[in-house]
Amino acid sequence: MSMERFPPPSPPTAARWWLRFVLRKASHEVIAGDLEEEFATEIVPRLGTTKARRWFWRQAILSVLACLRPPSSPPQELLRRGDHPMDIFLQNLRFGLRMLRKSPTFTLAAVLTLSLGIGASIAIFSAVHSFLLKPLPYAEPEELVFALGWDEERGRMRFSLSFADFVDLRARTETFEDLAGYRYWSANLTGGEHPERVQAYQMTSNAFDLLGVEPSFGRTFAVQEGGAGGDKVVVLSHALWQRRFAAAEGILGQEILLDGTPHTVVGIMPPHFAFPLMNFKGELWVPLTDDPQTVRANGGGSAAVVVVGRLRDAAALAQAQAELSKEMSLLAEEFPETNAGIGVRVFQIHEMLTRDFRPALWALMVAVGLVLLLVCANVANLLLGRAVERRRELAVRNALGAGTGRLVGQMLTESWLLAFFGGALGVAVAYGMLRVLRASLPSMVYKVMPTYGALELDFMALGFALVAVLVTGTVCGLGPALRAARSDLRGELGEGGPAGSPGARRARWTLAVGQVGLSSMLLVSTVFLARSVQNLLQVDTGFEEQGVLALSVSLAGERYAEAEAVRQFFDQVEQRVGGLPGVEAVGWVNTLPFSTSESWRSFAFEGRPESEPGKEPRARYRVASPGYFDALGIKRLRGRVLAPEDRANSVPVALVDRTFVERFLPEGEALGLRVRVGPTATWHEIVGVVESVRHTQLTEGEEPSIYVPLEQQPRMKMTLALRSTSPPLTLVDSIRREVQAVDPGQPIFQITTLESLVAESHLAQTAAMLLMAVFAGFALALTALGLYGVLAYMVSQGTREIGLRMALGAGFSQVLSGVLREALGMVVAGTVLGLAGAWGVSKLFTSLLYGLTSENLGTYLLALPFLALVAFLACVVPALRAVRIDPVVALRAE
Amino acid sequence: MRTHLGEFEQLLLFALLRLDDRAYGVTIRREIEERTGRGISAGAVYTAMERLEHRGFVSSRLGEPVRVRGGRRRRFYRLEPAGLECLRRSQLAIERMREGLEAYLEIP
Repeated sequence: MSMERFPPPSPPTAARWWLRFVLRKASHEVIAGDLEEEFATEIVPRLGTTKARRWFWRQAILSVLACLRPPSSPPQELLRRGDHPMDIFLQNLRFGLRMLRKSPTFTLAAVLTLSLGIGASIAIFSAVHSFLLKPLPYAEPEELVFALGWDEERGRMRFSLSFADFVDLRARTETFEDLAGYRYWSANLTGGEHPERVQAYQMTSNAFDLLGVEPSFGRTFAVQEGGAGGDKVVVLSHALWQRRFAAAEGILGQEILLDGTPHTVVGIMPPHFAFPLMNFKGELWVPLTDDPQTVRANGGGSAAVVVVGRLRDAAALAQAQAELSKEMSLLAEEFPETNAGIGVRVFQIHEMLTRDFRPALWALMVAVGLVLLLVCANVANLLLGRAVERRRELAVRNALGAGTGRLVGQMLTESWLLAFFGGALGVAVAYGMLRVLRASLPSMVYKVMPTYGALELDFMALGFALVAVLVTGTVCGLGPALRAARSDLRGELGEGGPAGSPGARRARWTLAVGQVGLSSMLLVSTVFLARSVQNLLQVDTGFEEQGVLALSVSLAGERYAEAEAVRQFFDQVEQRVGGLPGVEAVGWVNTLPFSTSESWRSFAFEGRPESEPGKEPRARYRVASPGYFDALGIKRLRGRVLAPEDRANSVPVALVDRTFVERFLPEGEALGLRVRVGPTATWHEIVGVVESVRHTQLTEGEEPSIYVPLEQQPRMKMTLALRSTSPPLTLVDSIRREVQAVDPGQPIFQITTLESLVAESHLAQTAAMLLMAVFAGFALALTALGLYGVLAYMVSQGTREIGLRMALGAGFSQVLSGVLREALGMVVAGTVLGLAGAWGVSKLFTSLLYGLTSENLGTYLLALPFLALVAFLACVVPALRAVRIDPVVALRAE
Repeated sequence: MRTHLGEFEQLLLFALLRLDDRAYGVTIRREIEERTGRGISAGAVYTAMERLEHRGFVSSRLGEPVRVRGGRRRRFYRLEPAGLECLRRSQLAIERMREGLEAYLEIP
């Protein structure tokens, strides 16, 4: 009977290769031999094949580690030496280091250039990662969405939904695991040394559970605490707890006063938790106490909440959208007075938050990529230059049998070394850049951008740095490496070769052209962004933002239960502040332009037929005191502005703006008409028309506004706007004093200048432009260097030829024009390529552009003068040198 | 030249004494593992033996190629007189330090 012998189990191949690679021949024979013998005779029978193989791996690794331990003198060589790949690498490393040390200027230039390029790319990567890629601080954030109200008629975002709608949606939905709602609240926190205004939010009791974050201490809301009649409890944020309550654990169970009402502290959230992520970050959270029944009965409109939800299935966004839209249209049929024309839009939270910044950041990444390419081109150029200088050395080594592979390896090792040092320095550069970035972004961004928190170097950034180093090193080293591979002994060692080997010359020419192209792409992008920003800055906002200070006050509590008390407060503060030195005008308004809040009301004209519910005309609703218009510099167009005579007991009046008239009263006269704003019964007479004012974005279209006097429609939360001759922020303390003279318990908050608010509105474009300009400047500098390098090389190589020509009668101008022609050739070729590339790239950031499209030819042409300047600068020295060649010397020397 | 041996080196030399002319990597490791329960790697044995050989305490020779080792040869080790002497001295040093303290170590 023939028995087939199964092949005996063998040790893992990888482990055997590992041993063979690392160990020297002699030690390998013994150690590997021992291990294989023991494996076959002892371990496999004892432990079985699988465990035996694991044993073998362990033994292989441990044995090598044992060999690495420093032996007693004299040192034993157990690890490979000689012509092993690992060892060759080490030799190359040592040789490369020596070569770099020998030419310090070259090394310095290359390392510095690389550090700037790699550093910039690390910094931008960190920004992209921090803004766009970091996950939100909730459980399974990809399932979290916003369900935001949508105006179907006008195709516009309404943002919040009514609480009643929220309750109905929550009950009826199947695609959502749960829905929660929240509302911005903001309250006065008193008790303690000074009153403080906190950014607070009212949340439904299930909100924390929906987000899936556990508190650090205590608990979050219980179900019974939501709804009317629930206990007054509060959950604190980590930051507030640290800042105001000194992180004392005893605060749990204590009461704090919010707008005068005691709330019991039941929980404290962990440091990384932030909610909501849009608008102001919450410092504390209280339960929402709306009662669905009463809200529905009262016409639903006022009790609005922002709805967030968790999908059962993160991929089912479309189904969720469809389901909610269907529910909303059913609600519109059920309750036409309140819900007609109101729809809903579902967005993934993360996507919504990053939307504004995404194009800018991607544009920056592309720009940085270009800069890195440019840096590589420059360094490759430098390396090529050195490779040509070393051609004899390389040729000799080749002849002596070094082999192409060896030489290529040598060249690559040197460029990797440069890239490594450049990268190490680049990390420092990136660190510095990020610090500057953090400091220069306005503080508003900290409050409003969620994942912004840490714009720092983290492990991801370092990992990216490593990749950048490897890629850069390889790209830079390829040229010289291939050059080295082709070094031919005879050609190189022969005396006085032609004007440089044509291959090298062509390569360097190509690199220079490439540099010009990349620079022009960056230049064009910069000009585009610069013109956009310029257009933005020229937009007429309708007011004058210079020298205007703004701050907010929010009244609450028993003291202000009566409307008259509210009026008196605002009136007295306005009087007092108006009397401060340097104050030109002061007034109150309910929402300041370019602040993050907004207020719309529907309205009706007297004498016109009532509109269908849901189709009423709407306008921005502004409550202002008379001084507001002077404070902001809003022009009066017709009639009069609000006056102190418009009091609670006089005729109700209103102002409208130009857009209002254009849209709703195109032929007719506005003055004298009466409007009813919102659900009130009061008819206001229009007594004047003012200039329209931009509110949210410089880029938005104009929207109609209605102004009513503060005296006639008092509100609890108002913003003070103040125009002063002295720098606005210097007045803050005096104003605070005056406010607290009227009411000691009243904090002022959201202190800012109108100028900074407007600047923040075009933050993305401005920041992108500035960074792009920096990159472009850097690129131009590198390009100039690159061009210079090629031209200088050409001149030095062609010295003999030039000398010959001059001896034969060529004049200065001819030599000069020769050099210039060469330079022009490179610039033209590069520019053409670059502009074509810019055409394509500009599509990427069309969304950042304002007032011009990416087709705008003039912008492309604006880049040309800069390139011409660069070309000229690069030419100067080589041209002068060419002209000063002494023909006698040139012909003699060799 | 150092005149004392580390603990591991002493174990190796004892193993050589026991194994006589059968002492090579595999047998040495097996001997030490069985008697002391300590697991040591092949590399550790090899490096230590190299050092001992360099100091003249041990000598080695290569054997014949062996199939089960993939055709590789075994390296056999032998204790040299100098090594034996050093081992003796090291053990004496320990004994003198240990004198009178057996109770603490509960050594019979």
